[in-house]
Amino acid sequence: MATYARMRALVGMQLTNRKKFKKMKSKLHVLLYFLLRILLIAVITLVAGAVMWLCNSVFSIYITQDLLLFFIAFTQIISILGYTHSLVDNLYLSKDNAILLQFPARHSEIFMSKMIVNYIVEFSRNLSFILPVLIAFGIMGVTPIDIGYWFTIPLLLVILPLIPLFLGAILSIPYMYIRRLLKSVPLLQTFVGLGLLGILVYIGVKIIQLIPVPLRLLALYTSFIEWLTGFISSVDSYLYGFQNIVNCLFPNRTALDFVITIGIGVVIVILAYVLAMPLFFRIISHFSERSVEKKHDKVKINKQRTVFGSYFYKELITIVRTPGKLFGYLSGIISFPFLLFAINYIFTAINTSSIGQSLVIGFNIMIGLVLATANNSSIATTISNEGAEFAVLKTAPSQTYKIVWSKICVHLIFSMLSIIAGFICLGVITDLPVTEVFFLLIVFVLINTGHLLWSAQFDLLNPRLNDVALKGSAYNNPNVGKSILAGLLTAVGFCAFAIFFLLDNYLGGWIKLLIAAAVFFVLRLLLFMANLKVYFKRIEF
Amino acid sequence: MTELFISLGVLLVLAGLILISFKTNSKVMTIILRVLSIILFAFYVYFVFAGDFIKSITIGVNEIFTNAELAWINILRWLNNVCVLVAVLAPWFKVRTLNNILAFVAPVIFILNVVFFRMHLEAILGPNYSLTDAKSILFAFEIALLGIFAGYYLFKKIKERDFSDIGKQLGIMAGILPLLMISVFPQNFLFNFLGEVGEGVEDFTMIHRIYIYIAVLAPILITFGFRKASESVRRSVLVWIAMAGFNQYFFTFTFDFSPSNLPFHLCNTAILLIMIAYIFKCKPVFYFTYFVNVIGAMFAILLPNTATPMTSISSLHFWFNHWYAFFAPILGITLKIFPRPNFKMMRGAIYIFSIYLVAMAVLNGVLNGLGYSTDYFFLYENFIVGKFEFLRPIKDNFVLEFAVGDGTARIFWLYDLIVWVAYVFMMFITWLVYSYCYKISDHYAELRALYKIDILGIRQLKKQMAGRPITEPIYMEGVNMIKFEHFSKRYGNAKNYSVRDFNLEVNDGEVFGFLGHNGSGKSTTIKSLVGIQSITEGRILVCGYDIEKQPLQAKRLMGYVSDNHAVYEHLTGREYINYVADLYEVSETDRTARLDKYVKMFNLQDAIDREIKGYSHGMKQKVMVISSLIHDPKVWVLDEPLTGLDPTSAYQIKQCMVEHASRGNIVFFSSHVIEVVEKVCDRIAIIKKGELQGVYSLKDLHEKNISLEELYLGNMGVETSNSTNKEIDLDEKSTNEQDQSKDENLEQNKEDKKAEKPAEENETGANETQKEQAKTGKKVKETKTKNLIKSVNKKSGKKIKITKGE
Repeated sequence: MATYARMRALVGMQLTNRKKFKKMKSKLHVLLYFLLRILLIAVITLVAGAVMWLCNSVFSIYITQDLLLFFIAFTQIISILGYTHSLVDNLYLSKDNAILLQFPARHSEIFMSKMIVNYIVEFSRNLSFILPVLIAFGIMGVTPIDIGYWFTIPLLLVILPLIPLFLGAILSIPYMYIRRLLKSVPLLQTFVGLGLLGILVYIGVKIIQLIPVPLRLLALYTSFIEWLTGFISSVDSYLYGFQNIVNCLFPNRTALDFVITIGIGVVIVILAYVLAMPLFFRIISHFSERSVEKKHDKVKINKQRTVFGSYFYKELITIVRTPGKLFGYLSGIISFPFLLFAINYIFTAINTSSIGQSLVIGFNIMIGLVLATANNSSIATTISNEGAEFAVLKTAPSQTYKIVWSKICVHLIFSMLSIIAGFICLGVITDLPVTEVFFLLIVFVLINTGHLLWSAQFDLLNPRLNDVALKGSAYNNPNVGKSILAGLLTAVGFCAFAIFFLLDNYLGGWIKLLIAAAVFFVLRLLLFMANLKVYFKRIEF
Repeated sequence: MTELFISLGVLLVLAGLILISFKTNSKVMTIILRVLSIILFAFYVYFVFAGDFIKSITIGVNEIFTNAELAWINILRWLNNVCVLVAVLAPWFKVRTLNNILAFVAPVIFILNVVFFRMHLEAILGPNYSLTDAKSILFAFEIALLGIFAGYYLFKKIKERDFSDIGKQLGIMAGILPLLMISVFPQNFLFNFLGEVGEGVEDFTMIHRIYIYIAVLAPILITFGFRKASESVRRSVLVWIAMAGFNQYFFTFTFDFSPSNLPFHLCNTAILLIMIAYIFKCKPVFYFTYFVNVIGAMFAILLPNTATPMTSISSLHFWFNHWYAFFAPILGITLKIFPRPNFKMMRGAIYIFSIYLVAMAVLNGVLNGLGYSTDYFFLYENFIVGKFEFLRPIKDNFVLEFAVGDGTARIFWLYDLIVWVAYVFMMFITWLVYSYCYKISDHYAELRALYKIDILGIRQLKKQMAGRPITEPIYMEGVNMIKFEHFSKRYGNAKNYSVRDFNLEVNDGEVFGFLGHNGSGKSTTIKSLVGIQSITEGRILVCGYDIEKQPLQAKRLMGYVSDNHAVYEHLTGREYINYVADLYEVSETDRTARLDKYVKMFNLQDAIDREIKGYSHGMKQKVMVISSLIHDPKVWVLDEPLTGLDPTSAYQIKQCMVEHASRGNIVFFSSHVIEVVEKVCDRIAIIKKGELQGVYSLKDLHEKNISLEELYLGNMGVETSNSTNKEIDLDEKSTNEQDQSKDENLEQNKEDKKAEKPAEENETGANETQKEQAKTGKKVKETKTKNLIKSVNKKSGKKIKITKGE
């Protein structure tokens, strides 16, 4: 009884701490909350139903039991991977462990209370996602169902959250050790990341090369659907356990299916309790977040640099020594050419008319810019990332705004490398004349640089120095969202411009496009300079 | 003969008006002129609807006028329209240019109207005009009224001798008049001379794009042209645009109204609603046009539903109508006549739109049922359905039918509902776009203002330096000190000051301690001193340099150790210190010498080339100390430098502070640790709730055997057991001069503080202690201690016995 009371208190406290589960002020709020949840479920059910209807009637992808099994297994595997990653921070290295361990409760109780909290979160998430899909399937699905289908749904809603959560808890232990190993050797982390990315790119290239030339989409579609159906069936045949869980929903269910379904839940919980729980306290007691000291023997001389040079050196060295940042930049150099290769391989596979040529250029601009400008979003936290270190800039007797230029320059170097690599790739793969590829490159560089300045301006006008100073990162920085949105709108806008100009007059269109890109760049440059001059020195924290 | 009668009539009425103007006050004259302007507008409206004969003729088939005559009468009628509308507007607004047009241009037009009276009638009525025709008589009245206005405003000009800047006045008039003319451009003008030529304006052809550019540029140019004008001028601009829109929309209308051609299309209603909104300053109507009409007009401009030749009257009619419907409402906000909308206004617009849509759906149904062909707001025919085919089955299958007359009224209810939803959605999108535009506009207005402030600041500094270079200290007497002069700091829009009226001088060779409880304002003061935060009031001088006006010079003399040990974690200690040295432009030789010295002093030889992320708290603090001393600053400022340090590190830093001050520099630091302050400092200042409580010499306190702890706790209002039966003897030297005036204000400030309870909510530890004391009945003692401190400060130099319980 005492255990129950303690568990209840622990769970209640952790749930209250989560924004989503804050205590309601009144009964009206509770009612309103439930009404909104029901409305949300209804809307998602409608959307899911509409998608299923489209699949059945338009795309000839029939919503069968096989597809449902594939879908449930796929979503659960994604959840397992998600929990494997998130439970490291959420369970073992969570900041609230220090508080929870002070309470007069057993370690097993604390562990289970955390798992229950996560279970409630996952259950709630399933109510908004799996439940609508199951309801929509019951209405729109091709496979016949009986009344038992509806009665089995609650069982699945209870069992399904257990699988990713408790399996994730077990898998997160080795994952945490691997992560810490990589963290202790930053360059290894970068190279492992790049290696994985390289493998993905290789697989991507191989898949793209499977596309038949010339590409006839309609003819290809039928064979694609046949291949997809076969693929799903063959994958389903290996999804042991999930087959029994899904079988419970349909008339061909057996008692064994129910036994296995419930058994899976029970076994996974016991396994997690036996394997993960004993390690839980040991891990949180022994792991400290102290990083390994790294000695840089080469840098023992005291060298004087210009103010800009010093900023530039500092930025560069920080990137090189921060695996996440370095990986971000280097992956951009790999992924951007791959993206241009992929879209242009498809474009060249399609026989295009002169109108199609304009569309190809337009879509190259749009898709390429969406990726390039998304990478620029990191510059939208450039000043915020200084955090408390900004004090050094505020107290220095120099033109400290130059630090923003140094950051932009460093980013621009990586960005340019990425774009140039992309356009070399484009020149090789596409049928476009070299002059047009060159024009496109100039357009790209101008727009991308303009957007880069725009992103930096977002942060200049709304720096979140305190957030970084207190939390250590610019997580949830609204400037990132603004930068991505601005990039998206710019990409779509210039795609429209390109198609509009080039369709009107091909040669004149190129000149107009270049002028438009140059105007965008000059405008952003002037606005950025004006804002930097006035606002940088007024930043306070 | 008719012309003579008109002239005589005008002269008589004018003479009467002039006589009245001599006898009566300006209010009566204004009323008379306003009444006349309403009458004149009624005439004007009549002629808009009357349907001029000239609208139907072209050069090729015209037998009345020669080409020159046709051009002349067109221009004359055009100018006549402009002058009449100016006369309608002038009595209602105090706009000099309108008065000037009436005084200088209208008399000429009146005379020309009289001279070419018959040519006017031919243009209005055709070759078979008659002087006794109603239109002829009304036209005579119209030009007579114009003549009266022209004569009156010319007389007024002469009477008031308003010719001092006549050149400028005429220049402005010459600039404005063409704009007024363009706004009421006669739609028949091009047709008269060219016929119907040119392709339809659609499909984003060159001319279509030019028309789109006009729609976008016109409101921008008008806004920039008039944004700084008086409200009267801005309103007159809007009313003029409303009247011009009315003129252009009803240009093709005649008196033969039928249910099929009522102005109920969205952009047609806009013209009437804009007039109502601007003339009567009617907010609900305005916000309806602002949210609803602008969208409709924008779609019409982008996807015009007319394909008539470019020079045709119908083409120009379409474009003028939609231009005005598009930008006239926008100008209401950009010229600041109406406030920016909030959700309430948006809601009102949605209500009115809903009523409008239902009314049009019913009207279309009923009128079509009765045999008229109407398609108001495109709700009945298939114009929209033709563009969005998926709507066709919805429109055809969900119909509400009822008998009306001999026919059947049909209301496509689901289709209408979808149109409503789509339109309301677009209204919200428009609102987002508007909000974004306001934000951009506000931001750049602020940018301009701040830029001006910066420029003014530099000018002011140059003026204050009186010919000396601005790199020299502004306050030459204070080159060896830090000086706070009435410094106050308030964060953002906070009501209360974090630091208020702070005055202090710290001299060279001193280690100066700054004491206060958590949240007392120590860090705020220090952050303002080193230039991290702005100063709300007063000024801070560092060795004679004003930190706000001469930041680079002042900062060059300072070294700062912050309270948060923030250093770039991915750099090594050496890299970080070199980075700071670069910012202070320290030479390689100097930095190497100093770095070696301090690295040895702080025992950092093994760590200096390791990444800072692996450093302990104390090591980080030492790196910060070294970086702050790398340029050997005259003023060394440290914010809580010893917090969390081990005894060895703390000792090393204290030694460093003493050594730095002994070389004639200033060391200014804040701390919670009274023992440290007592051992290291020459003088101390105590701050409480943002107010300086006192400045004390440690030497004096020692001599008088007063413990700093007791003094501090006394200042904080905390009673201690040792504070009984002690004598405090503080002479004038122990406090700064400014403290005396400060202390006189202290009592008043404390009275103010009682009223400012929220300030206390910001306080942390010390306040909580006070609250606890209040709970345990110690409030009485606290008040008494406060009074004691007050009396110490007031009567400094005299012996005061502080006895427990007094």
